[in-house]
Amino acid sequence: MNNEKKEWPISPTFLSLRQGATEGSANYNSDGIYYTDYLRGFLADLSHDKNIKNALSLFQFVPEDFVPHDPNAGEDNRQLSNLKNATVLWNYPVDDRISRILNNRKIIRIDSGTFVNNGKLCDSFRDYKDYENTFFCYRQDSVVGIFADSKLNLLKPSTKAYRDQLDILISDFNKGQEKKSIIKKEEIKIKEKIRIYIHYTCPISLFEEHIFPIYSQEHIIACLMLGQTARDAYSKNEAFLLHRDKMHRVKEGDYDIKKIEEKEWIEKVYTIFDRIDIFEQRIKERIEHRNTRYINDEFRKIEHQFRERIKLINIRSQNTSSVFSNALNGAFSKIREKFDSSEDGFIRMFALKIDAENNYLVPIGWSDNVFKDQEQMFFSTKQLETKAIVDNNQQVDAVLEASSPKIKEAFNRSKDVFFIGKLTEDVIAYIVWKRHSIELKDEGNETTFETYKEALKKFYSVALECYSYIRGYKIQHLLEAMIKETTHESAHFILPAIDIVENHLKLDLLKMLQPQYELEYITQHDEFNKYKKNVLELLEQLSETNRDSSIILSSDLKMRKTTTYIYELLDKSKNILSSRADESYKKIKYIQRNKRIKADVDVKYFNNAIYNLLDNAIKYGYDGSNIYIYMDEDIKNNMLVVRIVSYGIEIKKGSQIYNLFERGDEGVKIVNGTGLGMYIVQKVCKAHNGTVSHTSEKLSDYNVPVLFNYKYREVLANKCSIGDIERFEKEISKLTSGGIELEVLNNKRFIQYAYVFSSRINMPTYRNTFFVTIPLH
Amino acid sequence: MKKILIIEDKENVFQMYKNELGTSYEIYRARAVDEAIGAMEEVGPFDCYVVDLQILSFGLTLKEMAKYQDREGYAFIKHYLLKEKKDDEIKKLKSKIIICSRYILNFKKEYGAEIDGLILVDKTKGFEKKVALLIKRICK
Repeated sequence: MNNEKKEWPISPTFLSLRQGATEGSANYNSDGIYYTDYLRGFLADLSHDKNIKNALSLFQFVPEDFVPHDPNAGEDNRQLSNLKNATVLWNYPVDDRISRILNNRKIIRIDSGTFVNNGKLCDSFRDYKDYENTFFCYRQDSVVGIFADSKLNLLKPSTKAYRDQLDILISDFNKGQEKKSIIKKEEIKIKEKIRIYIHYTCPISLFEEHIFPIYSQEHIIACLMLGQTARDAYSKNEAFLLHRDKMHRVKEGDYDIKKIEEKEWIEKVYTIFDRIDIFEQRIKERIEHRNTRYINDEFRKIEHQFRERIKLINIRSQNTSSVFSNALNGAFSKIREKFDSSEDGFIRMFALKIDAENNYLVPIGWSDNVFKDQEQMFFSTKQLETKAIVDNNQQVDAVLEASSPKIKEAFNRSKDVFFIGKLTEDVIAYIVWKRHSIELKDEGNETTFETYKEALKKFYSVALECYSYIRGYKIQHLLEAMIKETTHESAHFILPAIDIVENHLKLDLLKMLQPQYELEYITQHDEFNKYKKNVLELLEQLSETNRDSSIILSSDLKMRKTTTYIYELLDKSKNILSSRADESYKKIKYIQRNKRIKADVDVKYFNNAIYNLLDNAIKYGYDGSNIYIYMDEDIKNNMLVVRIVSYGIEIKKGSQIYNLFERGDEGVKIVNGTGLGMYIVQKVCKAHNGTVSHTSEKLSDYNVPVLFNYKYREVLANKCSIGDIERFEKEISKLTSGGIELEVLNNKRFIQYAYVFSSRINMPTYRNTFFVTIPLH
Repeated sequence: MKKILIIEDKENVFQMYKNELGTSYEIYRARAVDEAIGAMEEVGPFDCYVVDLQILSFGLTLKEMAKYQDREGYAFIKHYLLKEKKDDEIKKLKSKIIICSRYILNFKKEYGAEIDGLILVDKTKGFEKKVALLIKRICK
């Protein structure tokens, strides 16, 4: 038994609560865990059991400084003030050999207060000369101290080694015993478990005294003594033989004690062990309960302090991560201080970061710096497999697998490594390492450790919650910055930006910013990151090009239709975009100038749709090509049909391109765009009871305008094979005779450098036609 | 006369540079990656490079397009301009490259130490004046 006053884990070495200590304030390791009344109640219940019917006492070994009695009541006070019949073996003599075993510790004895008939024989013996003989009795009883032997307590009571060591102790104790009693050890098998008890015969009374050990966490916590039992050695003629003349209160008939039969004795032993089992279970539950309360109380305090520190963080400052880390480190150090007993315990919190070439772990919180160098050795150089980042177990396994053999050896996978979860796009998972140094005395402490582990995990969530909160602010800040950056003086675009994020991307910004929605945040943040760039570009485009787009995006369209000559609208858009088209050597051509066609349209919105279609044609058409606007009447269906034709890369079939942020296949993105235009076109067409559709038809395997850039044919003659040149010539004649050359080409001299020719020549040319239909007036 | 390559797909921005620089330099323009490579092959090397991050991606492979989406200008620098150069050459070249973009902050975060040595200009009000001043300093 050690004398340390450590608080964690709760592994009490005795049961009685110190005088003056309360259950709430006690350090259970050094102050005991039960009020003495409760222990006495246990003894009384057991004493009255029909199979026992005998005096019972509870013995405990307490530290040197244990003060069981009221310190103000004087040294002679032998009673614990909070109960009767609880006696302290305090200043009484202890057998010399037992005294050495106890090594300054004391024995506390608690009696049940129930006595058997033969008790009065012993009482009368003790009465002699002002209780002088009482010392003798207590010296006899002090043999219970044999169970307090330190060597013995290094062994598990259920083992043979423990029983052997006890045999050695008993044999040592019995050496040279003549008049005094001999201690004997008994073993009995109950429910496949070997139970032990010791007993001796009092040389005065010839009664047997039986001592049953009670264990907690595989450690002696008390001894139960069943006293004054008349068994084999008892003989009424010899009991108290030398002292009978001094025992005035006793009559001759009192010595006529009935011996306990063997069968009856076995029943007693079974009953005692049965009750001890129940008592041990209660002690275990009590300790678990206390441990749980300790864990919860301490974690609550640490969490509170941590949150208070987080509140002080100015999240508007740039350097929030290091301030967050400091707060986290402080909390971790506190946890280690409260729950770790040895020097090598530590806690680490890691973020697994993934980049294109390597996956690595970054520590974001730690309880001390002892192992910092080793962390580098453990994690930084080894590559983790991305395929392992699938679920919790694989994740943990992969991390361990990628660690050095040393760390694999040092860490127990199930107890030391926790997977927390996915947080952001680049920070895939948080993994926490906890190397604990709690010394578990027996399997019974596992529940306590589980509770501790759960509390620790809960704290990680708290830590991440705050981390998310800070990151959430960063998102808000980013969004605001984006808006500020792109809108300049106007708040005109804030609405569409928020609308897009919330309605189209289905992200709840408010939720993202509230710590309690941590999980939602984690997934939503991912989504947000995915579209961050799009939103940014969208805002940029809105500010640069067309403010009306913002209105179309942000709300349901409130139409103000007027009967309008459509050619005027088309002309307007054409004129606005002509200079843009010129920049990329394109030309917008209006083919049919039927000025009479009228339709009921909202001028602003319809203009916007046409603008976007032409803008799209400029973006996706090849340099040096034409863009055509056709306008027809579909008399049969009373519809106006506007066709916009351009020549460039293939446009995907299907309605997908009309979705927000749809920008074609990732790999074939050649021009910068937001994926916004076609969404607006469709929204406007629908609002006009019209439709938008498109076709994409392959004209040539080559980039037609590039093919006809004759200037470089001579230059390329040195670089290209004859076969290539022939194929080009063949294609040129085919396209010329088919009228494609005239249709597509606008400017034959737009390429400045030969490299551009070779870079673009092999891009196939498609004729892309967009059809917009709306009802005629 | 010092030669400058301006890699910029937006005509109005190019014109702003041009107005600011006047006639003291021989100015070449590229709107796409392949045009920039072509200019290098036929006119280069240049005394100074002004690069926008978002330019047309003609000239990049599909893989590069996906990897350098909206950072095409940097793809040209990394995979053409600085490719297979010795350390001291890279250092020298980097001091001649001005990257002017609206997304400088994000760009810094994305590439970290890799872009040390490049001259970065945020495309905010008055950027063309800043760039002109830098060009003047580089070409001195």
